[in-house]
Amino acid sequence: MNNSNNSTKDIGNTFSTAKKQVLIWGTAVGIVLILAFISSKQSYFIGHMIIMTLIWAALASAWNIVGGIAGQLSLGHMGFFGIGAYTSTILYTKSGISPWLGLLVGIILGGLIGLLIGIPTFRLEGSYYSLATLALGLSLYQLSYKFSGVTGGATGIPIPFEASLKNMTFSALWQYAILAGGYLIIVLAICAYISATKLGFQLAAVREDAQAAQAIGVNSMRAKLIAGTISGGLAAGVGTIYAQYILFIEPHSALGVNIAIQAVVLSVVGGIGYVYGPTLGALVLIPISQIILKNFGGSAPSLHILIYGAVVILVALLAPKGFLGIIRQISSRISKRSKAEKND
Amino acid sequence: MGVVQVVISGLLLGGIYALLSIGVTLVLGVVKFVNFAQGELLMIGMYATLVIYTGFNVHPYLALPVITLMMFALGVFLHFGVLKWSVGGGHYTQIVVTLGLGLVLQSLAQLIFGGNFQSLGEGKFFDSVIQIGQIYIGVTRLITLIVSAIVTFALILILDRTLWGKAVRATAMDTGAAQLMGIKVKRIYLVTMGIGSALAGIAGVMLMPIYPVYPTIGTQMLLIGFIIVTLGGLGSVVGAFIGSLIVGVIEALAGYWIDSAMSSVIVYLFFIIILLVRPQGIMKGDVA
Repeated sequence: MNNSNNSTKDIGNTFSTAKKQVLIWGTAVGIVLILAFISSKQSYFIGHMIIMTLIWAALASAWNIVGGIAGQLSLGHMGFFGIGAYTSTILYTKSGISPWLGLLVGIILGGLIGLLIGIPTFRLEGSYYSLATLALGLSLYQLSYKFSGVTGGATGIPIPFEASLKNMTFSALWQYAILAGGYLIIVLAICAYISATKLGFQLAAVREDAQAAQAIGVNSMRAKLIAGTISGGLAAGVGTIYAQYILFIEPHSALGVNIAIQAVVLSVVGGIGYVYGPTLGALVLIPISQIILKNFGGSAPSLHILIYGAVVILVALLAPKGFLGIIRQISSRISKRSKAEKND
Repeated sequence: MGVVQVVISGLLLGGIYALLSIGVTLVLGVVKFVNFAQGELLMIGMYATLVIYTGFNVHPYLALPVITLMMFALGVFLHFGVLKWSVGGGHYTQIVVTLGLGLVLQSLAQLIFGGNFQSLGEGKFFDSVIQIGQIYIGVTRLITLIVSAIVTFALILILDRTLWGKAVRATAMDTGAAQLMGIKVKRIYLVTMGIGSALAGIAGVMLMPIYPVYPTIGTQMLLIGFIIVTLGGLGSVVGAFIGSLIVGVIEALAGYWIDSAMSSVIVYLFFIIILLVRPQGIMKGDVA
């Protein structure tokens, strides 16, 4: 009796999850289209804010694959971001290669570096991965000054404004909103896929207890390397989109350590390890920081960093699962209560 | 002759790194705490030196005791107010919390002092040089190395010879057992965090006459500190001191042979090689 009950429930579940998937991704596409519409109608400030939120959500979500789902705290994602930004920009400005192709090359390079930095560090316990990725990012920052013949050094590289789809250069903000939003959806879909597959469960096991995971036969090294590769590659893609939006890159904005720290902050505040956590973090914090920058940027240029720092400390100590963790806790309490009331 | 000069400059540079990394290794070894705000503590030490020098015209070395005490108090305060809540939370949470603390301290420095490089000014007593044959030694750098050697030696003596030091080492080895033996582990943690902060403050005082200060100076200093601690062996004070000298020499040689802009990149590469070849470091990971 119980068995048959369970199996019908399972069938119902798989049916509803398939439906749920369509619903979630349909909604996501809808939200991006609405945001693109808003950015075409509203002021430049609002449009810019929407695009920056989408770009940062994509970077934080890419970070989340290795930093959250795999539980390996990377402090070097400015490196991957910069690899993507510089690869596509150099290929485009020096050889006229379309940024779309540059995007792919950047993703491959970012993935490769993400793989290589994992090899010496993932076999060690502790904070070595954080330190090695930080060293990687700071090295690339230094190198971008050193090889100024290729990277333009401190003066950076301006990208010529020749609006066309082939050049990934657009004249209207809503087009960039669709570009960044589309990329965010791809990143989120990959996150959701990883979390739902065997790899995601292996990573969760490694994250919670590496030794126990090894003992039951999880190849933790392989799982972490895959996560590091995907995360690095996807972060590089965000760099290309950022470069094509701003149409100018230089070491500080494309390889500065603040990029990596911002990815960590958004993920921690939104909810580390949850697929949609970093996006929620970006939705909350990026508009706030943009508004602060607009109003106090001249008098107190680092005020938003102060708020980031304070929020991160509070969230990490009081609600380690972030805003999404709080929301889930509340909603599960409500559903429990309503169930209890039904039973009564 | 050039190489000898470079090696000596590297050893002198190592003196500054030693003060920072001994604090890192002590906190890591005893409290098992990864403090990513250690670089910002150094930054505060530098700004404090700057303020005391420009405001009251007090020589940095005379201000050393005051700043050391002040930074000890700050370390205790930060531990009591913020950091102690993440001591048991694992390295991940510790890094996130101290990263957030670092952001707060950085942006406060930016708000108060602005983002520019600031130094004590040139042409004063800071740039006198001793000449031995064809080798030049900056006096401030030499004093820094001597101070860091004295601090290292004093710390090892305290850890090795006093009852309190024994309690610290016991806590580092096995917190639970130490607690059962009646050692007040929480107090040990508090004092250790204070000492770690005070060491960063001393490093800041010693660095200020040599190097300009800016709000984000901590990030790179922190990374070099942790690289040294890895090289020296987690928790080893001697290892941190020797590691500092090694990293200082590598950085100076890389600057001499390759390119001064590349010297930190070479140190980071060296870090990856340590991780591949000898991740446990050169010394066994016991405190002292």
